[in-house]
Amino acid sequence: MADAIFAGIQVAMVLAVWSYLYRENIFSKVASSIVISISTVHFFLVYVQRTYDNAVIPLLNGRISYIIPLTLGLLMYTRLSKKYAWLSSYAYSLQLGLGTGSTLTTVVASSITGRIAMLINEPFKGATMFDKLSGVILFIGALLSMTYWLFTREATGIYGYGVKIGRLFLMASIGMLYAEDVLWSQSLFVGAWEMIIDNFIKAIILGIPPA
Amino acid sequence: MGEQRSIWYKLGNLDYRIIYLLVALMTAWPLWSPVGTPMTVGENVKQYAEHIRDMEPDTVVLCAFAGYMTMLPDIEPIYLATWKMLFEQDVKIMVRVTDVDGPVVIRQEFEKIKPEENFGKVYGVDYMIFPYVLMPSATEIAFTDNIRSVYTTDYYGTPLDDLPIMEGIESMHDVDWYFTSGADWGNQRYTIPYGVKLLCWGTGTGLLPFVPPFYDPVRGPCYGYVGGASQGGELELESGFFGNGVKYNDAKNLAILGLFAFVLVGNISYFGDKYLGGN
Repeated sequence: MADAIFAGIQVAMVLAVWSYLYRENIFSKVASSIVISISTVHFFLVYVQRTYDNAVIPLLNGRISYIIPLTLGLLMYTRLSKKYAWLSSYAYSLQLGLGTGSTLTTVVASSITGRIAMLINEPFKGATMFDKLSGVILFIGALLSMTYWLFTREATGIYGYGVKIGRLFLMASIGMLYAEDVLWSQSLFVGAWEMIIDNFIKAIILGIPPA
Repeated sequence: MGEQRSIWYKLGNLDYRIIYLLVALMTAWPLWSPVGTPMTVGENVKQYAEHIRDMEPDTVVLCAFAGYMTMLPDIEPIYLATWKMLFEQDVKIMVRVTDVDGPVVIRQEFEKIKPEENFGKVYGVDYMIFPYVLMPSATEIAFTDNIRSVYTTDYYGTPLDDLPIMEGIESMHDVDWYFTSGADWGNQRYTIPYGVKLLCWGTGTGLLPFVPPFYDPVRGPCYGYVGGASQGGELELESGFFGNGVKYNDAKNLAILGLFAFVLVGNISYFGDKYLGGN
């Protein structure tokens, strides 16, 4: 019985959200509000618990240094006051500074020199003729794509053709990003459909046991 | 009298809700009754599986589990097949939960896999789970340098030093493989400083466009990758641990045909309107 009620709620929520595809309506608004509210409360409770476990308890056990992150965390909330909002910039700047500093230690090797080395090596490391050709196309494509971002010279003549071909490579990669996004959304759609078919229609309505 | 419109124009202005309905039906059909659209296993998936199979006994594996509820359908097939493949090996598995609802999801995942029952594994000896900790870059650096500086207990509140699996594991120097959804970040934080090898798993949209520059099955840093439910299905096929991935592939392939048909109709309409029939 509990399973049936749970499956019924799941299906009602999914259908309410999907009804937005037809047009915006009261059901889609209620369903999205419920999801956002539950997520917010869940996140809030988890973070409070983690802060308590990782900072408050050690502080109460005598590890005084934990007063620093706790204070910095609380300073974030001064944004709520116009008068004291400036205090939050200490917390933000420390967070950003630490993040930037720690990232810079290896970002050059990984994302700059590492990528340049990969680009140079790509045409030579393929095992088959097809792989080698693919590497050459990638090498040329990367170089021409970079020319698209040079704004100090007018894109005319042979250089202009290079820029246009580079733009095609950029469009192809952006198209792939978009396609991946469509596929990702589709996976979520499939997951919701599967829940409706397996958990509700087959299991509850038709009484077919799960495969 | 309304303005007469060409057939091409009308075709291009088809009610978009018809597309939604068609895609919905084409998705539901194989979920109700599998169609069996053909599937092939990509080289990156084969390499991913091969490197797991080749892991030596007592290899230490750290998994960054980024499964959260809303994206689970896209990534769960990968997780489940990977866990099962890892549990088949004699390796030490540590799991780090990276998302706020990860603790709930990871419990469900392991309830499905049943490592003790199905693979004879013992929690704390063969595998363990770290609790959720928000990990900005500075915290992650501390974690890689000294695991115990960030985690003092496991997911269940047991002190790390009480877990046999954690004996001799202090930092990333003691870890051999890292499963991550971010190849660039994994390379920066784990491979370059510590020489940890990467295997990448993640959503299609979050992983696949970004991982190829780091992928090299021989030299690394990423030795293999699997992204999204489609490749999750390929991994199921490759590993023999079948789950939802193959079924999802069936549904996605058929739905893509529906979308493709409408892309085709849109293009026919555009070019027909442009070259053949105006008003």
